[in-house]
Amino acid sequence: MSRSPFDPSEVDGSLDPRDPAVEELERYATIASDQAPGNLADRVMSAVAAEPTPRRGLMAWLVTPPSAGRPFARFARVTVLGATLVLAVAGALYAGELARLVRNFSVGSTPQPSPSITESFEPSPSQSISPSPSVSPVESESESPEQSGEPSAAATATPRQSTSQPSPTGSEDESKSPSPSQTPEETDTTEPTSTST
Amino acid sequence: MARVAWHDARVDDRSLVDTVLDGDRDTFRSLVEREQVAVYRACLRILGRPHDAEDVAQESFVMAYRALGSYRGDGPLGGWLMRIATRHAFRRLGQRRDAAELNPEIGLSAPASDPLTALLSGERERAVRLAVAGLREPYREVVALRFFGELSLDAIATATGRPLNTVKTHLRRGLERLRADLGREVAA
Repeated sequence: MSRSPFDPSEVDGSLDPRDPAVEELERYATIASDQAPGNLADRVMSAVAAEPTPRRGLMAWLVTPPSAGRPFARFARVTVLGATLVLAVAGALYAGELARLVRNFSVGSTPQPSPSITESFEPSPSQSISPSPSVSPVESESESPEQSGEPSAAATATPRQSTSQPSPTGSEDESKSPSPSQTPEETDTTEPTSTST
Repeated sequence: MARVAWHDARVDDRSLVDTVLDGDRDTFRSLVEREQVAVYRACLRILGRPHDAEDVAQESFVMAYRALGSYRGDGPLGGWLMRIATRHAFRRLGQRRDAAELNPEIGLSAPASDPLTALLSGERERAVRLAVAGLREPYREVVALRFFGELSLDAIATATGRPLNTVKTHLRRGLERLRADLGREVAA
């Protein structure tokens, strides 16, 4: 038998212990000699004597001379290294360009500054609007001294007027404003006007 | 539980290699003397010719010496060496098969008294060698390291950098394909 005979349990027992391939390999392994030629170590050391001291790390990989049967091994190594570097640089450039395109696309489709403003300003008109229809105009006047005491009708009118105001600044908003009174777009357009006025 | 091959004896190979990298060639000689039997035997099992096996074993040690700086020390040096040797032996076998077979392989087993028995035995050994050599990678490497190099599956996993379960799968599939190939050889 060979020195470390194969045990089918090594592959989690899924092999037949009497597997013919294993038996052939085991039988074959027993016949090869267990002794190396007596002068093998001497031959190796005489060959190694002509070699420089090996280097460590990446330099070992790059500087190792090619073996006799592989004359283009070093050329292949340098080519592979160069190609890897080129690919890495190209990949980084491409990734940067892709990120820039994505950023531009996202900026062009949805205006970013307005949502942050809407969130901060949206509650104030809705609060001032909601009590006005339900409660008498006297209360609304007393509640909003800052807005020059205008009644609720004026407050409800301002958003719709403001939707028409942004038209000089952006044509996209104009196309959106007549459409149903969606909260995001309309409030987007209302807030800058309310802040400016 | 996987059986542990003799290569797995825990020796601080990393420190030995560091000593060699510092210029101590005598330490490399001790490494060669420690591993030469296993390396030569694996080469002989792959190539089937003692003279070729000796050449390939020697060249493998020289190649290993040149590349010693790339040994990371995360497994036994024997496995790392064995991988170099088996690859080199298969490469040599491929070159030999490309060339004309002027020098037929001899049988590795002891000479039989009956010439017919010796002939049949030699043919059977050759069939096993060719069947293993004809396997596709990575099955060939795993089968050769396990049966010709006598590495444990853990050592193969470390030497090849593959997960242990992947090595088991490769070995199982390699043996399945080998079974089919050997069946055809025997039938022929």
